[in-house]
Amino acid sequence: MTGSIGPDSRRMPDPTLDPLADLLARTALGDRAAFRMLYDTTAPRLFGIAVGLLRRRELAEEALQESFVQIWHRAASYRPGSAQPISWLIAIVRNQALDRLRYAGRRPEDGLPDEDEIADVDGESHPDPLALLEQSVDALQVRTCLDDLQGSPRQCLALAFYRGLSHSELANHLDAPLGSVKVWLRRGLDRLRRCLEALT
Amino acid sequence: MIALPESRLDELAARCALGLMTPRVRRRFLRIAARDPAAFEALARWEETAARMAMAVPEIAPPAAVWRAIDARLAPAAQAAPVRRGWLDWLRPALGFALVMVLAAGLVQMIGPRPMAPNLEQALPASYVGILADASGRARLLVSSQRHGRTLHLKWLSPPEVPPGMQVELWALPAEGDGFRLGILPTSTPAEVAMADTSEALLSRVTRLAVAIRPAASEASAPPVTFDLTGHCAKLW
Repeated sequence: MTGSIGPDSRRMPDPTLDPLADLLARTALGDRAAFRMLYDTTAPRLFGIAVGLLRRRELAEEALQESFVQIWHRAASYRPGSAQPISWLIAIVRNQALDRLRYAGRRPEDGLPDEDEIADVDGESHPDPLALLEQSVDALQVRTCLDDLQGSPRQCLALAFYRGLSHSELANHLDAPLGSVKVWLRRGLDRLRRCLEALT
Repeated sequence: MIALPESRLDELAARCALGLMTPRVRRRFLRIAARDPAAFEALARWEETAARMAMAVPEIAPPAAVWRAIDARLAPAAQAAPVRRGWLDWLRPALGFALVMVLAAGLVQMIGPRPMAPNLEQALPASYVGILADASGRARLLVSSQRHGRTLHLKWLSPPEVPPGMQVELWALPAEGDGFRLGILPTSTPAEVAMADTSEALLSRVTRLAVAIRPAASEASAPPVTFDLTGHCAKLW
């Protein structure tokens, strides 16, 4: 799998060295074989991310399908020299999943997402958002710096990123006032920004 | 260009990439990033960070049906002939468009006015006509309306498959200025859609029409990033 977690989170890699960049460029020229290869290479990674956000397999399948139709049409808009191709693809899938989460995926009658629902996906339990954030802080080399961020602010950041919870959903989930959630999220975001800035 | 302090731009980019914006605000920021280099760079940096965080999520193999569905939606593109160079190729799109317009005019005559129309307006042929094609250039939808009418007549040449929770939106794209949503389309054919005003008022400056399949309840004020079908909007008389 290309695009594995690297040591320096802020250094922009050279996307032209990435085989995915070549597949994207050929996709932009209408090369269906390259597009298929791009799908085969990245779909498991992207589907895992969509499932994590949407918590319902059929919605994640729709999001993945729609994302790849977009990727086919928008491949020419990928700019080599900016983010890595896998980062560009992940952004498309996350945005597609977040849209569905807001508009279709989480109707009022569904209530808050149930942590147990995810156990239905392939019969395996999905990692807890806080556990995923733990892995990320190592990958981003911000563990020491982010140690100051504990409790609710850390949980807010994890739930917002890995579960796509909105402010009001976070407030319900954590049984906290909406104002507190906003403060925690801002604190988490500011801390992460400072930690990443310190690396550069 | 926008003139935001670098720290504010960085914060907005972070919120966008980490999923802390509402879809509407996110789309607005993405539009800014598409034309502002500083915003684009900040967003690319944060998308890199977001991707590294997302990498912690375990991979899951999608079912084969997902690729089959993607392949089916893009199937016509796979059948496209290799590009050939020559002066005739330059003329081909124009000739094709002219032919489709002639066919469209015939179709409009067939599906448009009723034989026993109660008034003159309904008996007239359509004034505005659009033929919308998919990415491969295959005509998929015929749209027509009368100059002072408030009804769009639709004929799907090949109706789209609309996933649950999604809707088919028709957008009008003027030569200058923002596009606007004309309405939500049914996939039955032929069909009619009521417009907010007359064709003349809404379409006189519109040069292109486009269809986007988007999540139901998508906001009319937020134009889609991409369209599934596009085509010229021509005024015939």
